[in-house]
Amino acid sequence: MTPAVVSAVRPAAGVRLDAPLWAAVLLAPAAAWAWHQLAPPAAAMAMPDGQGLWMLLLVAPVLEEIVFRAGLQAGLVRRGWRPGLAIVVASAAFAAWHLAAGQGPAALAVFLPSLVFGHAYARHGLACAMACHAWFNACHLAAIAVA
Amino acid sequence: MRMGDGGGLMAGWRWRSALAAAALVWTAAAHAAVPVPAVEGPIRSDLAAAGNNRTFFGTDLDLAARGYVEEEFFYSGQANRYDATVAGGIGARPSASPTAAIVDGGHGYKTRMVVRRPADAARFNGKVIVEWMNATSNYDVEALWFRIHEFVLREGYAWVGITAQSGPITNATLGLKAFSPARYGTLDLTAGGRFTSGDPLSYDVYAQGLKAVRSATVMGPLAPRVQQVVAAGVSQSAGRLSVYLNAIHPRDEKLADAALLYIGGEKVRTDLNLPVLKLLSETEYTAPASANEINVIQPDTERIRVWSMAGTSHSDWASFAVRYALLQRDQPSAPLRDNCALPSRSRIPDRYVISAAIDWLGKWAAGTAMPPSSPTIALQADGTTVQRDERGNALGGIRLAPFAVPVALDSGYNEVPAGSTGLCFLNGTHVPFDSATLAALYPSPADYQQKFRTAAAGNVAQGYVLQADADEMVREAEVSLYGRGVDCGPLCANFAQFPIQPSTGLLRDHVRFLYVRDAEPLLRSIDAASLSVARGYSAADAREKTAQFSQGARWLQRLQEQLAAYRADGRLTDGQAALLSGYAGTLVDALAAQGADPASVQLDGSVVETLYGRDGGGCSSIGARGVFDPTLWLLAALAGLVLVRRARAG
Repeated sequence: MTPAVVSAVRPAAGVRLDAPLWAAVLLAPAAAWAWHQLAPPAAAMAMPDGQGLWMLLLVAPVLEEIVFRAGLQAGLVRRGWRPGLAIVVASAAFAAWHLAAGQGPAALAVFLPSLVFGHAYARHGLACAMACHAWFNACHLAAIAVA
Repeated sequence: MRMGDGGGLMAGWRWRSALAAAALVWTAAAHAAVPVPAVEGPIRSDLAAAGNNRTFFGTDLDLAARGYVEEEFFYSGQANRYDATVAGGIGARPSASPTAAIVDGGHGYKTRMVVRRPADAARFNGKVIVEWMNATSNYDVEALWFRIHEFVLREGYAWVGITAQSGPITNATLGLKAFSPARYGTLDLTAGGRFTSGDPLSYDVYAQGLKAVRSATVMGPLAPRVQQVVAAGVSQSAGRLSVYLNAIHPRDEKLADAALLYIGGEKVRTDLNLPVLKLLSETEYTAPASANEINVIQPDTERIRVWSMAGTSHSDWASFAVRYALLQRDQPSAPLRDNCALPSRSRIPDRYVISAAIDWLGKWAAGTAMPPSSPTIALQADGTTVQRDERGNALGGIRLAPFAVPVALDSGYNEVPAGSTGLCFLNGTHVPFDSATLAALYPSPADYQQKFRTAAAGNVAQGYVLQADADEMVREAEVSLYGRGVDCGPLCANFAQFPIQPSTGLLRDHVRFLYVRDAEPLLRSIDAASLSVARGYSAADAREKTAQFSQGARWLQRLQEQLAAYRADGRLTDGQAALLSGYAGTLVDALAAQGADPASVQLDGSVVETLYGRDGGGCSSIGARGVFDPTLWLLAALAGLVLVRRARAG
């Protein structure tokens, strides 16, 4: 296994985010707001209750990042896939998971932030991916609150 | 075979051929050709035009989104008078009119027809429903269209409405000429004022309208594909149509392939050359003589069916609710509520049976199937009084799922209030069962829904409801509050009408019957409001009650926001959005009067999820059903597996 592949399978947990990731994190509120403006009415959502907030801000980011990034994405890289392609495939699976969860076709839009999470995982590790995921979900909730 | 036998066969064949030829000649001579009227149009219609120069009651449904267009035509010609007579009211006469004779002819007329048809021939199913528009209100009432527009649009029918009688043209305050003198000023069904009562020209006017439909002048690109024409009348116009079918149509070339007589009409001749289905509501069993069909009900034949729907009312709820915004726009003096002795209008959805009836008529006329018979509504020994169960609901008849799995007293009976006049005896009634009765009948949502699904499947199996309509009924049942153990109080219950008793249940109907594109988010908001309000009524303490009412009001405000958005992108008209938003505001005010403060709460998505499941408004892919959500545990198991493998891999 080459060092590069090893790095992508289990990336070092660095705290210095790269420029693209910073850009994505900073653009997250605007992206969430735009999604709410553009999403079909059927996808318009209500503010979840207390349990739903915990799910969105903690449980989902932790479990989903373990499964889709540390599990699927890393597993693909371990099998020799190019890291970029692994991020795309894992993100597609992530979007399909949300579709299968009954959130409607608009849920496929999570494919885009999932690319960010995949990038975060590849460059900075699992904890960073979880944090990004929680941040994007928080922005989503903020968009609901101001809608 | 001997030659003599062959010669005999030939001679017989020649004899039969001669008879057939003679019959053809006789038929041609006996059945008069109906002239094609002169047609103008389509007449341009613009909602913003000065002087109401637009189609009266031009639909406010989003036809374009469904691939349909609406066009209005004027047509004119010469009409005969006949010696046929028609019974008053709904034309209920226990005898069939004989073939009529012409009294005189050559009377000029000019009228209009409204055509709603698929824009593209590929969407057309080849069948045209031609409605004789109801004249009782002294303005054209598209009584059938208002009931079955969703069926028409879904199945690819074309619908044509004909103004065949003079009242809706000439009434001084409500008629077409009063509505728009510039547009409708030249219409005339009185032969220049000679026939100001009785509408003697109406039969030929309608017949020539049928002829226009068949003769490529009003159907645009669909004309070559017209295969069947279904004549239809409702109540008063069913009475007229039944006379036309019995007395005039047999004289003429065959213009209608089948006929629907809905909630009216005299006895049908058994020798007609087309299938006729008469469909009765419960009201035609309970109303006074002018609207009572008990003595007119006749046995089924190969070409006649009489169906009776228990629990339904002559004047139904859906077709009234759907036209509120239209009435405000085109007939603003018409009241938007009934003033009857009992809460008005059954909620049993007769429209689904009408759809099935029309579907059967098409197959019947094509010779591919015959509709089932229907049991009559059960009568007591006196032969006039409807038999009822312990809660007052009628026995016998076609029993639609919402009636077979009852949640209310639904009846065809109502009364004109003491000291008043009017047609309340046509309106029927709807009184929801109290909470204790509902709780005893349906201990859980699953119990109610299972019973409902079974009844709906039975409706389909019996041939009284189409599968698509049964699916729609079941979807409604699945998001209802029945079986949930909550008290749907006055501001929630579907009872009476705005503004007599404003409620979320009524508001829901006003939205639902418009079949707005992507309507589900609107319905979810209303349903969330209903459940919150019901929880408020059921709350054990005042604080909880206020919190729930606040949540209900917040959902109604959410609905108002959605309505504004729907108006902005053209899914609702100004009138529809204003009406619905106004009703939502009325409810918010009513809840505020009960202590609600919508600003004090945030929308609780779990309210929608209670009714619609986990896709009902939450935004997490997991845990929507709480810690017992299987997706949560699936994800947790997968995560555990990943972590174990990670640990082993070092």
